[in-house]
Amino acid sequence: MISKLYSAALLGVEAFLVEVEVDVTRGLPSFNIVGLPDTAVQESRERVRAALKNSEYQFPMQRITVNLAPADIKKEGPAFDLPIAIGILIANDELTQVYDNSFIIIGELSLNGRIRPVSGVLSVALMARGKGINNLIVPQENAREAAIVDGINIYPASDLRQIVRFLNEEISIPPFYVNKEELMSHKDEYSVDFSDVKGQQQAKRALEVAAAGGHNVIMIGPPGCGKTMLAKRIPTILPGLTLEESIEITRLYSISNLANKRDPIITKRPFRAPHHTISDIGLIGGGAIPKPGEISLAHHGVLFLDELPEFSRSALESLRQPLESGMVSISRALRSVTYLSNFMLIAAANPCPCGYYGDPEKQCTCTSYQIQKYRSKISGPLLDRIDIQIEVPRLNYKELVNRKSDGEISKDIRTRIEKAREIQLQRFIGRSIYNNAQMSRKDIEKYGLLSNDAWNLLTQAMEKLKLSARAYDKILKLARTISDLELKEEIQTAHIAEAIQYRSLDREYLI
Amino acid sequence: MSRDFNLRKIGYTGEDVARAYLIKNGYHILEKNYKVVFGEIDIIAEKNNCVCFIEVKSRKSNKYGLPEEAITPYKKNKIVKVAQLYIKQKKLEKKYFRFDVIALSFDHNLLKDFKHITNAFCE
Repeated sequence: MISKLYSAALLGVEAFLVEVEVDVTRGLPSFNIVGLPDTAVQESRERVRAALKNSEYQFPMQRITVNLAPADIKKEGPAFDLPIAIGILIANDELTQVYDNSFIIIGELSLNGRIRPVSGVLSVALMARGKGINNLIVPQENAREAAIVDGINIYPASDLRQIVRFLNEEISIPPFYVNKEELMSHKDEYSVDFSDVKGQQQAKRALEVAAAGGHNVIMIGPPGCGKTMLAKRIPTILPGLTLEESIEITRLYSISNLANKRDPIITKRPFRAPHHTISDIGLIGGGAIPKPGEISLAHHGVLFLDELPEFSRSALESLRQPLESGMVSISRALRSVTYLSNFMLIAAANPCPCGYYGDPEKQCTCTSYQIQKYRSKISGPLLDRIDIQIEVPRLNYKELVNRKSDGEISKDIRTRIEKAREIQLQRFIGRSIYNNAQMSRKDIEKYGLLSNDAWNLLTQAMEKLKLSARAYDKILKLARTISDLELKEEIQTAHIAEAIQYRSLDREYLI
Repeated sequence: MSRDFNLRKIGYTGEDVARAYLIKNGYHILEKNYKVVFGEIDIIAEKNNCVCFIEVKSRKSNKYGLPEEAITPYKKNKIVKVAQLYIKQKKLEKKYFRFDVIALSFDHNLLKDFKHITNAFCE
């Protein structure tokens, strides 16, 4: 007898529908799986056999053939265990109710018949909704993740016997429900706060501007001045995640098996700080079956690269394209996938190998050749994509112990940033641009309205500091963001002056 | 010569014991030592419309492992091939099939352990 039911497999971040056909006929006992299964799917034969026996079902000693259609896409992972087991039971007449194919079933079986969690459940739920299949049977542990998708019924499964009884309509399982408002209300809770950082008012202001306009930042300063501390607190001043953003991030974490089992939905902006020994594949993603890299795990959040010049050249250069487009396409022999990677790059570096070049008190011990070599590790095109370049000076003892040097709390800063972002969203409404950093040349001309005084100042700066055309654009973008923060329509002199300050590398002051 | 004779004797005794057990349990013996050019099946028996291909394995002692452990993938493969041929020859396609193992351990010519493993392996 033949049975057919629906399951799902992953292709990058997207899920696709897989028909699991099970045929049980007379003949020499055998158990075969066809339809390009990988090793984990092949091994499901042993899990299914043991799970059926240990759940006190008869395992038919007949010729069993399982087909996973479409047969030309490679299927991976253990999520087919449950549909295969149920398919065998249907073919074996253990299911008394007529099975009507209104379900998508996924789950890994343990040898004793319990159902174990699988990855990528959120993508499967979104696909189910897209295909109009309204019932989804998922492992108990994954139910929370799937239930964030509206409009479909999520049935949590804990073991094989239970789910067979459910399909036989002997018991009922209430569809799993998640309160989305409550879930998203935790998004503002961070364990760190901007007021933890003493002094560094300039750097804080620069980061506020960066967060308001989505600009990338490089911080240059001696060791121990607080660069890492500042970077870690950037997610706390970024505007809260919307549900859509949260779903996008959660999908990436789910397929990477990084989602927290108890709390799988990501409600906070991610902060990723990979070590500088990371490979280019680790950074942008890859592998025979491409997995998301750090830039995708930092989607809608912050990618912090500490000790930027220590990163391998190829890793840094591979960042260039994703920084522009907000996504990365990875092509391999087996398949090519696109992962979203819309992140804010925060880089930190020392001014020289010893770290004290330009320090007013401590002597730098590097030779000029060493300094030049160290700085040449960061390429021009990469630096070009970083709008804000700031120096973070060493904190003196007085500032460190002074209670008054505590800054504003993150919540206050965030309120200002949210307002500035709102203005930008209104400005670019109906276009695929969300912040000032993404403006093109044309947009800059259109929205970079300068007051007369501001215009004079910019002209002077361009001539005196010998700034390039690119620097000119960047200064106008930054000035736009600064005036947005002050809710001004026209860019004022002060805004231009501040923007010029954030281009310290153009001034050849440091690098 | 005498050692070889002894081993065979154990083997035949084992198969006799196995057959007696099967008959007692309601099996109908179809063949014993069904031999073709590329292999042999010790016993072919039938019960409830299910044809069982049975490999009998006897051991004088468990010093070198259990008797059922001595059935290698190579041996399994051979049994499957012979079974396929048998089904074709006797036109048994409409029946159910099973591969069993009967494992016997002897100690000084006394039966120490007897195991009938149904569905021991599949194709």
